[in-house]
Amino acid sequence: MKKFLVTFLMLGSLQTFAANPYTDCGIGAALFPNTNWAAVTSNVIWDVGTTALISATASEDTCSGGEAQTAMLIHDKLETLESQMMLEDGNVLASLTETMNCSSANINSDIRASYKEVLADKDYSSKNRVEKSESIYFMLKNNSSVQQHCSIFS
Amino acid sequence: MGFFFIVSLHAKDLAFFESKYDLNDIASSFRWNRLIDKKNINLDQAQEYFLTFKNGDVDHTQELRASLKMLLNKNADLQKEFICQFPARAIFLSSILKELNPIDTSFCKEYSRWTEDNSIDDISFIYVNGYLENPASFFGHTLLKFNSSKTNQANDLLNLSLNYGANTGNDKAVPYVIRGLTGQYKATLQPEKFFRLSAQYQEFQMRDMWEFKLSLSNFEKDLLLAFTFEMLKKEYVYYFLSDNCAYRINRIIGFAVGKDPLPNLLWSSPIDLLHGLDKESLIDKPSHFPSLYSQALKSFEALSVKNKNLYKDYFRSTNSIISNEDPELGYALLQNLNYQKLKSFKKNKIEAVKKIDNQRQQILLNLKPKNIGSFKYDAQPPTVSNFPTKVSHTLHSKNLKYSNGPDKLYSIKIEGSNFTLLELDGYRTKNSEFMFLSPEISLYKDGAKLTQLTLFKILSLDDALIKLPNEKKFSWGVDSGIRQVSSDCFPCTQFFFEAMIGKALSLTNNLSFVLMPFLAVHENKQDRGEISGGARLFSIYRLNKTRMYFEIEDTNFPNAKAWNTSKYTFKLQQNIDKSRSFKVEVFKDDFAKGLMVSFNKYY
Repeated sequence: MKKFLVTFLMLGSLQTFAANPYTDCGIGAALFPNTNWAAVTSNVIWDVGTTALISATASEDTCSGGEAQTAMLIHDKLETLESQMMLEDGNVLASLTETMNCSSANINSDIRASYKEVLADKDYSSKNRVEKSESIYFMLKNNSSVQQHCSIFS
Repeated sequence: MGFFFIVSLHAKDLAFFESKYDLNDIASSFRWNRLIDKKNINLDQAQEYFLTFKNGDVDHTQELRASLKMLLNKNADLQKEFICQFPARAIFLSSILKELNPIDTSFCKEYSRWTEDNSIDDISFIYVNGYLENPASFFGHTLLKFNSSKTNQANDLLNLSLNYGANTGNDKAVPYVIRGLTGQYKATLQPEKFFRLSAQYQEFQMRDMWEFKLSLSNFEKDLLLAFTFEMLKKEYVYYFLSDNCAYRINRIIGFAVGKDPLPNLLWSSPIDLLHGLDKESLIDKPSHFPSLYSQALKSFEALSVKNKNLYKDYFRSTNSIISNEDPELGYALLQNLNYQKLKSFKKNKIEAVKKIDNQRQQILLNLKPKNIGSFKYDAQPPTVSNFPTKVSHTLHSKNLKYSNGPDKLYSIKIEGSNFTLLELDGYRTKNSEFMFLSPEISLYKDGAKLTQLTLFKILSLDDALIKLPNEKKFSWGVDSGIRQVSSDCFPCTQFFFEAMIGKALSLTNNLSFVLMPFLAVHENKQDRGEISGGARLFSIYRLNKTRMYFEIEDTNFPNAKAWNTSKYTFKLQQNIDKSRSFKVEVFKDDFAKGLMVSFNKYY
């Protein structure tokens, strides 16, 4: 229980990632587990935070920081985010720029341009959910506008 | 500030408060009882939750004294430690014991993070509706959301939510049901960013969510935040029917406002809690978070006629290529494909997911930037539905062709947290039924009998007027329990289980026709055998608060053809308001005809 509390409370930590939050924090292993009838009931929590941390190799602090939150947002809202990046509009895209601590500069068109290059990869559609999320995460990390206007990866 | 705070507390000691206040009285107050309550708490870590836990129990007055001693402690560090560990107790006690200064928690790092440095503007109650593919979700679900001024109002997804549920370890269906009903799961409060729960409920489970801002004073809000902080440490025993999300969220809100909004029933149900909050004027007008399915449907509905045809063509032809000059068409197609993808993902259909993703990739690549805007949904909030618990009083008058059974009966039927086709169902999947443990007792001149017991009934007609073009929907239902063998004998009940599957057709938004073949297995009563089958053809007409239902049912008994019968039924229900309705029902089959008049009261 204390782990949950510490996990949550460390959000906003200034810990930065050198590696991959998806593998280092187990993001993606928990929210959509192998389904069975019981797993998708209303009153079930499949301990997203704990499961992620159990399979994490990075520290608890690191896995609850802003980068991990960005990675989680991409993974959880993947389909909607993909649409909104191309439309350059929408609440998930707005949440993404907020979670990356971006200034008020409008970088949506630059994100769109970079994401289009990711999409152009003919193997993109055959990647699984975590792999697609990783592609987007690192696309953002390497995007010059994100580097210039958002503080999350610095 | 901190030094002044400590010095002024030292002016009074425990003896002063014991002489001025009745500490026993405070210790037996609603809020203190809630703070110290140990019902269904895993007491393995009791030393963390209580100061005076001893021999498996804690005395409320001793715990209050110990808490007050800590607040008055001359050791500033110990005093601070207490406030930071038990902020709810500190805030509550300082509101009652006027000589205590208002509590300052700014030095509590963990608690300050919990309150996001005191930036929580307001708190919302969120209701997630049930969905009929999963019986365990029929009762709905509730959670809380903390709305921070630090979060851009348009980016609600980043606010914190507080969810409560059992840790089931992915048990299979049968052990899940048994363990959930018998208290073999542990449960905890789980804080999550709202986007996680939005993804889980709206997209993965295709459920609508409704957000109601709670009408709380600043003091009540502070109490709620502090109490939930204290609860984070605790592990509870989970009971699916009684100690579930509704129970725990009710206790949180109840502590904050000084009274539990959930009615005192044998079970705890999210919809009961929502109505309770509404009754106490604790909630405001709702915001609606539609499911991904609703979004897909709406984006299709909003297309021009030309685009609708292109949309349908796309799903008819596997090689169809769409010109993406119009982003609205591309967006609508994507929404549909997103829905299809998550449906397949949930069923672990990896190849189907890849195929859909391939289609999505093509559309995404050609999608032009556009502000799609928001759609207007017609959805009614859950608060406009009938109250969930129904008690029906019915007078029966029957004309029996062969039998000498009673021709006049009075029956009383109880349905808790249930709903039928004839209720005001606003937010639920339209034209659906859910009943669970619902008995009917009939009184007649010779006594009283149990004439019906619904163990479990679900009916989903899926008769939406507008459907996604590539979506194959059918109507289905299951029913089980005890029922009368036929209308002409009394009492002659039998255990039964019935399954039905069919198709519905909506002619207008208000009128549907349904054909449902069915198959039943039952006790062999009156030599009718153990199997029967047949079909029901029925129509439902809805106009404001009026519901009309007409049915032709054909039942065949393979081993007792003499009992084959066709039955005609007409029902008219007038819903007066959320708490009352009346119904008239007439029927005729080969063995009897009858009239029933019911008055229904909803609680």
